[in-house]
Amino acid sequence: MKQRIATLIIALGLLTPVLSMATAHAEASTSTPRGAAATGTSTADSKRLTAIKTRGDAELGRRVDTLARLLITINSATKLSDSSKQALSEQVGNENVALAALRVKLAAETTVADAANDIKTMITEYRVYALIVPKVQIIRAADDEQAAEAKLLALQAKLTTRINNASAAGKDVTALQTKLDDMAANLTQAQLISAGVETSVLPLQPTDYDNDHTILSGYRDNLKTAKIAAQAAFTDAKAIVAGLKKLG
Amino acid sequence: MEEAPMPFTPQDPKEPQAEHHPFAPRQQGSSSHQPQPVRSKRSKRQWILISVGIVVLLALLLDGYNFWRQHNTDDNTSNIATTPSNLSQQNTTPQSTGPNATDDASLNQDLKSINSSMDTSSSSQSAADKALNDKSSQIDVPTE
Repeated sequence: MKQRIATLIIALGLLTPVLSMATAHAEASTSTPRGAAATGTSTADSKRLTAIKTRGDAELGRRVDTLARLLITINSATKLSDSSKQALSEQVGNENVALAALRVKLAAETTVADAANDIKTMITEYRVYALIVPKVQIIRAADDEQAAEAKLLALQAKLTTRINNASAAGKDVTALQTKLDDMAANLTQAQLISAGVETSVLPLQPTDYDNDHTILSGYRDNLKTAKIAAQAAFTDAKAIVAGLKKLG
Repeated sequence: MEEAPMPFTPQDPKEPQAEHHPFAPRQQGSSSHQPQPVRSKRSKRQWILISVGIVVLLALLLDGYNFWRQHNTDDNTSNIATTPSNLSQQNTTPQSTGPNATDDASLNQDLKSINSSMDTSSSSQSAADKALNDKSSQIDVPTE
């Protein structure tokens, strides 16, 4: 009996290392495929991260350049008030600085998720092409429209004087006066709309665009209405000038 | 041997025209008594006088036409003058519309300036339209 127990102990002692080796081999054989998969995923993420960074950097650079050109456009506006010009310049300038900083942040990102988040931020928080660029262009158009309207207003004053003088000289100015009244009405309408567009568009922010993607289209349409009214006033002015020449 | 020139031979194409021209001087006596070069010189003088007369006449007609046209445009046809003296008087005497002439030029200049500004405004609106329709914001950055 004692001999059987001793033999069993010896056998177990001999088998234990073998079983341990077998278990270790089994573990090794199962862990090898897992490590290979992790290495493959890392490579794919790295490629994706590089692609996002490359394309994102190009898009950020494009926006920075666009905003720099916009600053020139703003500064060349003639009818824009100094305060409005300053407010617009600050907004565009701040966006430019922020996007430049985002560009640096994107370059330093180490994960796909963070890089993708940077790209989303570039679009949703700044809205360079969806809001800022058309906003500045609309304000500039309103500014140019007001410049033309100011000239029309000065001409209207001259025409009023000429018609009054002709009337005092005993000439029939009924038709000319009618044209002048029409010119004044058209010009007033154009001025109101143009000034209103500029005032309303100036404070718009990317969040306003997020709330209403068509917000700028409405102001653009308003400007077209102002343009039509100013054109009608100009046509009246030309007719009055021709009429005054006939009166002599 | 070189042949001597014969200016009044029938081969000369100019001479017969001078002979039959209505303004040519009448020949006195026989042609053998009147030297041909003298007769040709008179004809040239007459032609010069006629040409000068025609030019002066055309100038007067043109001047008169311009005067008529100017006054007809201004609807002052009653003041049309037909004599050169009246013509010069019309041009130098200020009319009742004279003081407005400068104003008219100023108004025309204003119209041109406004027209230019309207063109600028139209260009700006086109740029705004273009910016609104720009699809640049729809970028294709791989985020997945």
